[in-house]
Amino acid sequence: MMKRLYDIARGVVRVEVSGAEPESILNFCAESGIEFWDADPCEDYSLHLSIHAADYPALRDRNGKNGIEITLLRETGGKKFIAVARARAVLLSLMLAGLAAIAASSLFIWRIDIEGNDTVSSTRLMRALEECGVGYGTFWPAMSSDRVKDDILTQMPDIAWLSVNIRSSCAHIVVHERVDKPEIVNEKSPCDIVAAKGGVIKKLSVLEGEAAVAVGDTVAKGDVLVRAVMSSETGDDRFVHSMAQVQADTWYEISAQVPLTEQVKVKKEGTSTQFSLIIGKKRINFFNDSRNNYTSCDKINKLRYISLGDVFTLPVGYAVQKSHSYETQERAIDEKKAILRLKADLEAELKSKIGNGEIVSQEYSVSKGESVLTVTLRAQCTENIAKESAYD
Amino acid sequence: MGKNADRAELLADRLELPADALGALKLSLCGRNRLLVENHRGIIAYGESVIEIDCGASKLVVRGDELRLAAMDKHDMLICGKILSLEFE
Repeated sequence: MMKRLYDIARGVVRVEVSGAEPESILNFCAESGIEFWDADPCEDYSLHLSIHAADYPALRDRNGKNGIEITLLRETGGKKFIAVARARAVLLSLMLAGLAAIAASSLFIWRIDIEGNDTVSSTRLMRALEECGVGYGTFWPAMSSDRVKDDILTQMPDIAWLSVNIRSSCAHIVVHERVDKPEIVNEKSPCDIVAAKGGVIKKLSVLEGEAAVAVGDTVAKGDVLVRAVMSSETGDDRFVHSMAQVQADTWYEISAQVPLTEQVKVKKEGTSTQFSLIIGKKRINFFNDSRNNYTSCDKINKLRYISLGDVFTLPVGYAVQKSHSYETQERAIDEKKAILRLKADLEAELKSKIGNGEIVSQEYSVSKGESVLTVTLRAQCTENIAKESAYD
Repeated sequence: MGKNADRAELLADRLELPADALGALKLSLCGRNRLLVENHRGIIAYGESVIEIDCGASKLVVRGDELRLAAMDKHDMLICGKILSLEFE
Protein backbone atom coordinates (compact mmCIF):
# COMPACT_ATOMS: atom_id res chain seq x y z
CA MET A 1 0.00 0.00 0.00
CA MET A 2 2.80 2.43 0.97
CA LYS A 3 4.71 1.44 -2.17
CA ARG A 4 1.62 2.13 -4.26
CA LEU A 5 1.14 5.57 -2.66
CA TYR A 6 4.84 6.30 -3.16
CA ASP A 7 4.59 5.37 -6.83
CA ILE A 8 1.47 7.51 -7.30
CA ALA A 9 3.27 10.46 -5.71
CA ARG A 10 6.34 10.05 -7.91
CA GLY A 11 4.47 9.08 -11.05
CA VAL A 12 4.84 5.84 -12.98
CA VAL A 13 5.56 5.38 -16.67
CA ARG A 14 4.94 2.14 -18.56
CA VAL A 15 7.09 1.83 -21.66
CA GLU A 16 7.56 -0.65 -24.46
CA VAL A 17 11.11 -1.38 -25.54
CA SER A 18 11.47 -3.03 -28.92
CA GLY A 19 14.40 -3.79 -31.13
CA ALA A 20 17.02 -6.42 -31.79
CA GLU A 21 18.18 -6.57 -28.18
CA PRO A 22 15.63 -5.02 -25.84
CA GLU A 23 17.52 -6.61 -22.90
CA SER A 24 20.22 -3.99 -23.36
CA ILE A 25 17.77 -1.43 -21.91
CA LEU A 26 17.55 -3.53 -18.73
CA ASN A 27 21.34 -3.45 -18.51
CA PHE A 28 21.30 0.30 -19.16
CA CYS A 29 18.73 0.81 -16.35
CA ALA A 30 20.79 -1.31 -13.96
CA GLU A 31 23.98 0.57 -14.75
CA SER A 32 22.31 3.98 -14.58
CA GLY A 33 20.56 3.25 -11.31
CA ILE A 34 17.09 3.49 -12.85
CA GLU A 35 14.66 1.45 -10.82
CA PHE A 36 12.38 -0.69 -12.95
CA TRP A 37 9.79 -3.35 -12.24
CA ASP A 38 7.14 -5.49 -13.95
CA ALA A 39 9.53 -6.21 -16.81
CA ASP A 40 7.41 -8.47 -18.99
CA PRO A 41 8.97 -10.00 -22.09
CA CYS A 42 6.64 -9.82 -25.08
CA GLU A 43 6.77 -11.38 -28.47
CA ASP A 44 8.43 -9.79 -31.47
CA TYR A 45 11.61 -8.72 -29.68
CA SER A 46 10.00 -6.37 -27.28
CA LEU A 47 9.40 -6.05 -23.57
CA HIS A 48 7.31 -3.86 -21.31
CA LEU A 49 8.60 -2.33 -18.12
CA SER A 50 7.60 0.27 -15.57
CA ILE A 51 9.83 3.07 -14.28
CA HIS A 52 9.34 6.25 -12.30
CA ALA A 53 8.29 9.25 -14.37
CA ALA A 54 11.42 11.19 -13.34
CA ASP A 55 13.64 8.51 -14.96
CA TYR A 56 11.78 8.55 -18.27
CA PRO A 57 13.83 11.35 -19.94
CA ALA A 58 17.04 9.37 -19.40
CA LEU A 59 15.44 6.31 -20.97
CA ARG A 60 13.92 8.32 -23.80
CA ASP A 61 17.42 9.48 -24.78
CA ARG A 62 18.19 5.87 -25.69
CA ASN A 63 15.41 5.89 -28.26
CA GLY A 64 16.78 5.14 -31.69
CA LYS A 65 20.21 4.11 -30.47
CA ASN A 66 21.42 0.56 -31.23
CA GLY A 67 18.16 -0.17 -33.00
CA ILE A 68 16.15 0.26 -29.82
CA GLU A 69 12.79 1.90 -29.99
CA ILE A 70 11.09 3.15 -26.83
CA THR A 71 7.37 3.84 -26.83
CA LEU A 72 5.41 5.41 -23.96
CA LEU A 73 2.40 3.22 -23.20
CA ARG A 74 0.85 5.11 -20.29
CA GLU A 75 1.65 7.50 -17.48
CA THR A 76 -0.05 7.53 -14.08
CA GLY A 77 0.37 9.47 -10.84
CA GLY A 78 2.84 12.33 -10.31
CA LYS A 79 2.38 15.27 -12.68
CA LYS A 80 -0.41 13.49 -14.48
CA PHE A 81 -2.31 13.18 -11.21
CA ILE A 82 -1.77 16.86 -10.41
CA ALA A 83 -3.04 17.81 -13.87
CA VAL A 84 -6.17 15.69 -13.38
CA ALA A 85 -6.65 17.16 -9.91
CA ARG A 86 -6.40 20.71 -11.30
CA ALA A 87 -9.08 19.94 -13.85
CA ARG A 88 -11.34 18.65 -11.08
CA ALA A 89 -10.42 21.09 -8.35
CA VAL A 90 -14.00 21.50 -7.07
CA LEU A 91 -14.59 17.77 -6.82
CA LEU A 92 -11.26 17.27 -5.09
CA SER A 93 -11.96 20.12 -2.69
CA LEU A 94 -15.32 18.58 -1.83
CA MET A 95 -13.68 15.21 -1.25
CA LEU A 96 -11.05 16.76 1.00
CA ALA A 97 -13.72 18.73 2.84
CA GLY A 98 -15.70 15.52 3.31
CA LEU A 99 -12.66 13.70 4.65
CA ALA A 100 -11.92 16.61 6.98
CA ALA A 101 -15.54 16.57 8.18
CA ILE A 102 -15.36 12.85 8.85
CA ALA A 103 -12.08 13.29 10.72
CA ALA A 104 -13.50 16.18 12.75
CA SER A 105 -16.81 14.44 13.45
CA SER A 106 -14.99 11.49 14.99
CA LEU A 107 -13.95 13.82 17.80
CA PHE A 108 -17.57 14.22 18.86
CA ILE A 109 -19.90 11.69 20.38
CA TRP A 110 -22.72 10.74 18.05
CA ARG A 111 -23.75 7.41 19.48
CA ILE A 112 -24.15 6.24 23.06
CA ASP A 113 -24.48 2.52 23.78
CA ILE A 114 -25.39 1.44 27.28
CA GLU A 115 -25.11 -2.13 28.47
CA GLY A 116 -25.30 -4.00 31.76
CA ASN A 117 -28.33 -2.18 33.20
CA ASP A 118 -31.37 -4.23 34.23
CA THR A 119 -33.20 -2.23 36.88
CA VAL A 120 -31.77 1.20 36.11
CA SER A 121 -33.38 2.47 32.93
CA SER A 122 -31.30 3.65 30.00
CA THR A 123 -33.31 6.89 29.93
CA ARG A 124 -32.32 7.66 33.52
CA LEU A 125 -28.71 6.89 32.75
CA MET A 126 -28.77 9.05 29.63
CA ARG A 127 -30.17 11.92 31.68
CA ALA A 128 -27.48 11.49 34.31
CA LEU A 129 -24.81 11.31 31.60
CA GLU A 130 -26.18 14.48 30.04
CA GLU A 131 -25.88 16.24 33.39
CA CYS A 132 -22.26 15.06 33.59
CA GLY A 133 -21.55 16.53 30.17
CA VAL A 134 -21.79 13.36 28.08
CA GLY A 135 -24.36 13.66 25.34
CA TYR A 136 -24.78 13.80 21.61
CA GLY A 137 -22.28 16.21 20.15
CA THR A 138 -19.93 16.24 23.15
CA PHE A 139 -16.30 16.93 22.27
CA TRP A 140 -14.86 13.78 23.83
CA PRO A 141 -11.10 14.64 23.93
CA ALA A 142 -11.96 17.29 26.55
CA MET A 143 -13.93 14.80 28.61
CA SER A 144 -12.55 12.84 31.52
CA SER A 145 -13.94 9.31 31.79
CA ASP A 146 -12.90 9.10 35.45
CA ARG A 147 -14.72 12.31 36.32
CA VAL A 148 -17.87 11.14 34.52
CA LYS A 149 -17.67 7.83 36.37
CA ASP A 150 -17.24 9.56 39.74
CA ASP A 151 -20.12 11.95 39.06
CA ILE A 152 -22.49 9.18 38.00
CA LEU A 153 -21.59 6.99 40.99
CA THR A 154 -22.24 9.95 43.30
CA GLN A 155 -25.57 10.74 41.66
CA MET A 156 -26.85 7.19 41.37
CA PRO A 157 -26.23 5.05 44.43
CA ASP A 158 -27.86 2.04 42.75
CA ILE A 159 -24.89 1.81 40.39
CA ALA A 160 -21.81 0.08 41.76
CA TRP A 161 -19.43 0.65 38.90
CA LEU A 162 -19.42 2.29 35.50
CA SER A 163 -16.95 2.66 32.68
CA VAL A 164 -16.98 5.05 29.76
CA ASN A 165 -15.12 3.85 26.68
CA ILE A 166 -14.92 6.12 23.68
CA ARG A 167 -14.15 4.56 20.34
CA SER A 168 -14.17 7.08 17.53
CA SER A 169 -17.51 8.82 17.94
CA CYS A 170 -19.26 6.07 19.86
CA ALA A 171 -19.43 6.17 23.66
CA HIS A 172 -19.77 2.71 25.12
CA ILE A 173 -21.10 2.81 28.69
CA VAL A 174 -20.80 -0.38 30.72
CA VAL A 175 -22.82 -0.39 33.92
CA HIS A 176 -22.69 -2.73 36.90
CA GLU A 177 -25.67 -2.33 39.17
CA ARG A 178 -25.35 -2.54 42.93
CA VAL A 179 -26.44 -5.84 44.44
CA ASP A 180 -28.30 -5.48 47.73
CA LYS A 181 -26.52 -6.92 50.73
CA PRO A 182 -28.11 -10.09 52.03
CA GLU A 183 -29.90 -9.82 55.36
CA ILE A 184 -27.47 -10.74 58.11
CA VAL A 185 -28.96 -13.29 60.46
CA ASN A 186 -27.89 -13.11 64.06
CA GLU A 187 -27.31 -16.76 64.84
CA LYS A 188 -27.07 -16.10 68.58
CA SER A 189 -30.39 -14.35 69.20
CA PRO A 190 -33.09 -16.70 70.56
CA CYS A 191 -35.71 -17.75 68.04
CA ASP A 192 -38.42 -20.38 67.61
CA ILE A 193 -39.00 -22.54 64.60
CA VAL A 194 -42.54 -22.17 63.32
CA ALA A 195 -44.46 -23.80 60.48
CA ALA A 196 -44.27 -21.81 57.28
CA LYS A 197 -47.19 -23.85 55.92
CA GLY A 198 -49.78 -26.25 57.29
CA GLY A 199 -49.13 -29.99 56.92
CA VAL A 200 -48.43 -33.33 58.56
CA ILE A 201 -44.98 -33.78 60.09
CA LYS A 202 -43.10 -36.56 58.36
CA LYS A 203 -39.58 -36.12 59.64
CA LEU A 204 -38.16 -33.91 62.39
CA SER A 205 -34.44 -33.17 62.80
CA VAL A 206 -33.80 -30.75 65.67
CA LEU A 207 -30.25 -29.40 65.86
CA GLU A 208 -30.88 -26.76 68.53
CA GLY A 209 -33.93 -26.09 70.72
CA GLU A 210 -36.70 -28.25 72.09
CA ALA A 211 -39.19 -30.00 69.81
CA ALA A 212 -42.79 -28.93 70.36
CA VAL A 213 -44.32 -31.41 67.91
CA ALA A 214 -43.75 -35.04 66.95
CA VAL A 215 -43.78 -37.01 63.70
CA GLY A 216 -47.35 -37.57 62.56
CA ASP A 217 -48.71 -34.37 64.15
CA THR A 218 -50.79 -32.05 62.03
CA VAL A 219 -49.69 -28.43 62.19
CA ALA A 220 -51.16 -25.21 60.90
CA LYS A 221 -49.28 -22.26 59.50
CA GLY A 222 -47.52 -20.37 62.31
CA ASP A 223 -47.58 -23.22 64.85
CA VAL A 224 -44.40 -23.47 66.94
CA LEU A 225 -42.45 -26.55 65.91
CA VAL A 226 -39.27 -26.08 67.93
CA ARG A 227 -39.10 -23.89 71.01
CA ALA A 228 -36.21 -21.58 71.84
CA VAL A 229 -36.57 -22.20 75.57
CA MET A 230 -34.72 -25.27 76.78
CA SER A 231 -35.50 -26.41 80.32
CA SER A 232 -32.69 -27.56 82.51
CA GLU A 233 -32.87 -29.83 85.55
CA THR A 234 -29.88 -28.21 87.17
CA GLY A 235 -30.27 -24.52 86.38
CA ASP A 236 -32.42 -21.85 84.81
CA ASP A 237 -34.03 -22.20 81.40
CA ARG A 238 -31.73 -21.57 78.47
CA PHE A 239 -32.71 -19.53 75.44
CA VAL A 240 -31.21 -20.78 72.21
CA HIS A 241 -31.30 -19.96 68.50
CA SER A 242 -33.41 -22.89 67.33
CA MET A 243 -32.33 -24.83 64.27
CA ALA A 244 -34.25 -27.69 62.70
CA GLN A 245 -35.26 -29.44 59.49
CA VAL A 246 -38.97 -30.26 59.48
CA GLN A 247 -40.15 -32.30 56.51
CA ALA A 248 -43.92 -32.35 56.20
CA ASP A 249 -46.55 -33.51 53.77
CA THR A 250 -48.32 -30.48 52.34
CA TRP A 251 -51.28 -30.14 50.02
CA TYR A 252 -51.92 -27.50 47.43
CA GLU A 253 -54.84 -26.47 45.33
CA ILE A 254 -54.03 -23.81 42.78
CA SER A 255 -56.28 -22.59 40.00
CA ALA A 256 -55.69 -20.58 36.87
CA GLN A 257 -58.24 -19.12 34.49
CA VAL A 258 -58.31 -17.90 30.96
CA PRO A 259 -61.15 -16.22 29.05
CA LEU A 260 -62.76 -18.39 26.38
CA THR A 261 -62.39 -15.63 23.83
CA GLU A 262 -59.44 -13.45 22.93
CA GLN A 263 -58.82 -10.27 20.99
CA VAL A 264 -56.71 -10.79 17.88
CA LYS A 265 -55.17 -8.26 15.52
CA VAL A 266 -56.39 -8.29 11.95
CA LYS A 267 -54.47 -6.20 9.46
CA LYS A 268 -56.43 -3.52 7.72
CA GLU A 269 -55.65 -1.68 4.56
CA GLY A 270 -53.63 1.34 5.47
CA THR A 271 -49.90 1.67 5.77
CA SER A 272 -47.92 4.85 6.05
CA THR A 273 -44.20 5.51 6.03
CA GLN A 274 -42.72 8.69 7.46
CA PHE A 275 -39.15 9.60 6.69
CA SER A 276 -36.97 12.02 8.67
CA LEU A 277 -33.42 13.20 8.20
CA ILE A 278 -31.31 13.47 11.35
CA ILE A 279 -28.49 15.99 11.44
CA GLY A 280 -26.89 16.19 14.85
CA LYS A 281 -29.71 16.95 17.27
CA LYS A 282 -31.93 18.36 14.52
CA ARG A 283 -34.65 16.32 12.89
CA ILE A 284 -36.00 17.30 9.51
CA ASN A 285 -39.33 15.64 8.79
CA PHE A 286 -40.30 14.87 5.23
CA PHE A 287 -43.99 14.70 6.06
CA ASN A 288 -46.60 17.27 6.96
CA ASP A 289 -48.96 15.51 9.29
CA SER A 290 -47.30 13.90 12.29
CA ARG A 291 -50.62 12.92 13.88
CA ASN A 292 -51.70 9.34 14.11
CA ASN A 293 -54.13 8.70 11.26
CA TYR A 294 -55.27 5.30 12.45
CA THR A 295 -57.24 4.38 15.54
CA SER A 296 -55.18 1.24 16.07
CA CYS A 297 -51.83 0.67 14.45
CA ASP A 298 -48.43 -0.94 14.88
CA LYS A 299 -45.52 1.45 14.65
CA ILE A 300 -42.03 0.31 13.68
CA ASN A 301 -39.30 2.89 14.15
CA LYS A 302 -35.87 2.57 12.61
CA LEU A 303 -33.03 5.01 13.30
CA ARG A 304 -29.73 4.70 11.49
CA TYR A 305 -26.65 6.87 11.53
CA ILE A 306 -24.15 6.80 8.69
CA SER A 307 -21.22 4.83 10.03
CA LEU A 308 -18.34 2.66 8.97
CA GLY A 309 -18.34 -0.10 11.57
CA ASP A 310 -16.65 1.17 14.71
CA VAL A 311 -14.28 3.38 12.76
CA PHE A 312 -16.48 6.42 12.63
CA THR A 313 -20.09 7.48 12.95
CA LEU A 314 -21.35 10.61 11.28
CA PRO A 315 -23.93 12.83 12.99
CA VAL A 316 -26.10 12.33 9.93
CA GLY A 317 -28.72 9.66 9.66
CA TYR A 318 -32.30 8.90 8.91
CA ALA A 319 -35.36 7.75 10.78
CA VAL A 320 -38.17 5.77 9.25
CA GLN A 321 -41.49 5.19 10.98
CA LYS A 322 -43.81 2.65 9.44
CA SER A 323 -47.40 2.44 10.64
CA HIS A 324 -49.56 -0.58 9.88
CA SER A 325 -53.24 -0.20 10.64
CA TYR A 326 -55.16 -3.04 12.29
CA GLU A 327 -58.43 -3.80 13.99
CA THR A 328 -59.19 -6.20 16.80
CA GLN A 329 -61.61 -9.06 16.50
CA GLU A 330 -62.91 -11.35 19.20
CA ARG A 331 -62.20 -15.01 18.55
CA ALA A 332 -62.61 -18.25 20.48
CA ILE A 333 -59.36 -19.55 21.93
CA ASP A 334 -57.80 -22.91 21.14
CA GLU A 335 -58.84 -24.72 24.33
CA LYS A 336 -56.33 -27.57 24.07
CA LYS A 337 -53.44 -25.18 23.78
CA ALA A 338 -54.84 -22.99 26.55
CA ILE A 339 -55.17 -26.00 28.91
CA LEU A 340 -51.59 -27.11 28.22
CA ARG A 341 -50.32 -23.60 28.81
CA LEU A 342 -52.25 -23.25 32.09
CA LYS A 343 -51.01 -26.65 33.29
CA ALA A 344 -47.43 -25.63 32.62
CA ASP A 345 -47.97 -22.32 34.43
CA LEU A 346 -49.54 -24.07 37.43
CA GLU A 347 -46.72 -26.59 37.70
CA ALA A 348 -44.16 -23.79 37.55
CA GLU A 349 -46.04 -21.91 40.28
CA LEU A 350 -46.18 -25.04 42.46
CA LYS A 351 -42.44 -25.63 42.05
CA SER A 352 -41.72 -22.04 43.02
CA LYS A 353 -43.86 -22.50 46.16
CA ILE A 354 -42.21 -25.71 47.38
CA GLY A 355 -38.65 -24.66 46.59
CA ASN A 356 -36.43 -27.74 47.08
CA GLY A 357 -39.39 -29.91 48.07
CA GLU A 358 -40.73 -32.84 46.07
CA ILE A 359 -44.07 -33.34 44.35
CA VAL A 360 -45.48 -36.65 45.56
CA SER A 361 -48.62 -36.65 43.44
CA GLN A 362 -50.52 -34.20 41.31
CA GLU A 363 -53.72 -34.10 39.30
CA TYR A 364 -55.43 -31.53 37.16
CA SER A 365 -59.11 -30.80 36.67
CA VAL A 366 -60.60 -28.62 33.98
CA SER A 367 -63.92 -26.83 34.22
CA LYS A 368 -65.57 -24.56 31.72
CA GLY A 369 -67.74 -21.67 32.82
CA GLU A 370 -69.74 -19.22 30.76
CA SER A 371 -66.83 -17.11 29.79
CA VAL A 372 -63.74 -18.61 31.43
CA LEU A 373 -61.84 -21.85 31.36
CA THR A 374 -60.50 -22.91 34.75
CA VAL A 375 -57.71 -25.42 35.36
CA THR A 376 -57.10 -26.55 38.92
CA LEU A 377 -54.00 -28.34 40.19
CA ARG A 378 -54.23 -30.46 43.33
CA ALA A 379 -50.91 -31.76 44.57
CA GLN A 380 -49.36 -33.49 47.54
CA CYS A 381 -45.77 -32.48 48.27
CA THR A 382 -43.04 -33.10 50.80
CA GLU A 383 -41.05 -30.06 51.84
CA ASN A 384 -39.23 -28.35 54.65
CA ILE A 385 -41.75 -26.15 56.47
CA ALA A 386 -39.38 -24.85 59.19
CA LYS A 387 -39.13 -21.08 59.44
CA GLU A 388 -37.29 -19.02 62.03
CA SER A 389 -39.40 -16.66 64.10
CA ALA A 390 -38.03 -14.22 66.66
CA TYR A 391 -38.67 -15.32 70.22
CA ASP A 392 -41.17 -13.07 72.02
CA MET B 1 36.26 -9.16 -18.74
CA GLY B 2 36.28 -12.92 -18.71
CA LYS B 3 39.94 -13.03 -17.91
CA ASN B 4 39.41 -10.57 -15.07
CA ALA B 5 36.79 -12.86 -13.53
CA ASP B 6 39.08 -15.87 -13.88
CA ARG B 7 41.89 -13.93 -12.31
CA ALA B 8 39.65 -12.87 -9.46
CA GLU B 9 38.80 -16.52 -8.70
CA LEU B 10 42.46 -17.52 -9.00
CA LEU B 11 43.55 -14.72 -6.70
CA ALA B 12 40.80 -15.56 -4.20
CA ASP B 13 41.99 -19.19 -4.14
CA ARG B 14 45.59 -18.12 -3.57
CA LEU B 15 44.75 -15.64 -0.86
CA GLU B 16 42.08 -17.95 0.66
CA LEU B 17 39.49 -15.20 0.38
CA PRO B 18 35.79 -15.54 -0.58
CA ALA B 19 35.70 -15.38 -4.36
CA ASP B 20 32.65 -13.13 -4.50
CA ALA B 21 34.48 -10.51 -2.45
CA LEU B 22 36.83 -10.12 -5.41
CA GLY B 23 34.04 -9.92 -7.97
CA ALA B 24 33.41 -13.57 -8.86
CA LEU B 25 29.88 -14.66 -9.69
CA LYS B 26 27.77 -15.75 -6.73
CA LEU B 27 24.45 -17.56 -7.05
CA SER B 28 21.99 -17.96 -4.19
CA LEU B 29 19.09 -20.25 -4.95
CA CYS B 30 16.27 -20.07 -2.45
CA GLY B 31 14.03 -23.09 -2.99
CA ARG B 32 13.38 -23.31 -6.70
CA ASN B 33 11.51 -20.04 -7.04
CA ARG B 34 14.07 -17.36 -6.26
CA LEU B 35 17.54 -16.94 -7.63
CA LEU B 36 19.86 -14.13 -6.57
CA VAL B 37 22.70 -13.50 -8.98
CA GLU B 38 25.53 -11.32 -7.65
CA ASN B 39 28.39 -9.81 -9.60
CA HIS B 40 26.73 -10.30 -12.99
CA ARG B 41 27.75 -8.44 -16.13
CA GLY B 42 24.26 -7.90 -17.60
CA ILE B 43 21.42 -9.66 -19.31
CA ILE B 44 21.90 -11.26 -22.69
CA ALA B 45 18.40 -12.63 -23.29
CA TYR B 46 15.18 -12.19 -21.38
CA GLY B 47 12.13 -14.39 -21.75
CA GLU B 48 9.50 -16.13 -19.65
CA SER B 49 11.13 -19.53 -20.11
CA VAL B 50 14.78 -18.60 -20.37
CA ILE B 51 17.01 -15.82 -19.05
CA GLU B 52 20.62 -15.64 -20.16
CA ILE B 53 23.03 -13.76 -17.94
CA ASP B 54 26.50 -12.57 -18.80
CA CYS B 55 28.85 -13.82 -16.08
CA GLY B 56 32.08 -12.63 -17.60
CA ALA B 57 33.97 -15.85 -18.36
CA SER B 58 30.80 -17.76 -19.08
CA LYS B 59 27.12 -17.39 -19.71
CA LEU B 60 24.52 -18.52 -17.20
CA VAL B 61 21.30 -19.85 -18.70
CA VAL B 62 18.34 -20.00 -16.34
CA ARG B 63 15.51 -22.14 -17.65
CA GLY B 64 12.07 -22.34 -16.11
CA ASP B 65 8.44 -21.29 -16.29
CA GLU B 66 7.03 -17.80 -15.79
CA LEU B 67 10.48 -16.40 -15.08
CA ARG B 68 10.50 -12.76 -14.08
CA LEU B 69 13.16 -10.24 -13.24
CA ALA B 70 12.00 -9.03 -9.82
CA ALA B 71 14.84 -6.56 -9.23
CA MET B 72 18.09 -5.62 -10.85
CA ASP B 73 20.92 -3.21 -10.36
CA LYS B 74 24.49 -2.86 -11.55
CA HIS B 75 25.79 -5.87 -9.61
CA ASP B 76 22.85 -7.96 -8.46
CA MET B 77 19.65 -9.31 -9.88
CA LEU B 78 16.78 -11.31 -8.44
CA ILE B 79 14.93 -13.76 -10.64
CA CYS B 80 11.60 -15.20 -9.57
CA GLY B 81 9.53 -17.95 -11.13
CA LYS B 82 9.67 -21.73 -11.35
CA ILE B 83 13.35 -22.47 -11.98
CA LEU B 84 13.97 -25.77 -13.75
CA SER B 85 17.69 -25.62 -14.51
CA LEU B 86 20.85 -23.55 -14.34
CA GLU B 87 23.41 -24.08 -17.07
CA PHE B 88 26.80 -22.52 -17.75
CA GLU B 89 27.82 -22.18 -21.36
